[in-house]
Amino acid sequence: MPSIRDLFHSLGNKHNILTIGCGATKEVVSECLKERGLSKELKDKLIEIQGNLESIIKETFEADKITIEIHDRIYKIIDPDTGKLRGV
Amino acid sequence: MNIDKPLKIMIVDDEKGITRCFKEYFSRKGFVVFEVNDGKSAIEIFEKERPRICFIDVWMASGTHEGVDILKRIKEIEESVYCIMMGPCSDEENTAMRLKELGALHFINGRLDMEDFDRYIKEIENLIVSRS
Repeated sequence: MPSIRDLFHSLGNKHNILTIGCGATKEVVSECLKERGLSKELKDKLIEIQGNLESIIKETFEADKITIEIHDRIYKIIDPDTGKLRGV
Repeated sequence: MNIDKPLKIMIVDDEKGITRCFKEYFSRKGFVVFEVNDGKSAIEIFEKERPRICFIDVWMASGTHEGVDILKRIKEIEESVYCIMMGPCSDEENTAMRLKELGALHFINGRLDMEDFDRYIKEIENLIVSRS
């Protein structure tokens, strides 16, 4: 069974994949928008995708703040490696 | 301007999803990117390819500071390499200070963001130009 430390490490990595992956995808969409001859409908959709990706990045940062809060509370009372209550 | 083009960058992180996205993003921008997921490979790639910039995860393996060992080793091999350390840490001030003492240029505490990477790489390109 993974330790609490492992679980937080893994969760942090997943958050990073979300922010980095969305950032990389945003760049690709941005390149697509520079293409000539795009219809207005397609351009609008690409701009919408960019906005959605930006929202995911923003929400992931917020999720991470909450994760840190939970992390700090748990680490205060539980040893993250053994899973045992501190001072018991 | 005196920058070896294309500039070589190495990213070291135990999470493959992170290194893959990083490589795709910066390869598109014209950089040569080496993605590495463990400490041993990081040293081997560094010795062979001598990237100018290294992004290194501090917490490479479960609960260990393997990233710090990588930083120390590659700074021994090539003192002029620009290293940026990454990783969440509750004691940001002391960690950043310690990593800078070991030769890191910056410490990114918290979530990673492509805009941060862009900014740091631009800063390093300017440093390379100013020091050449």
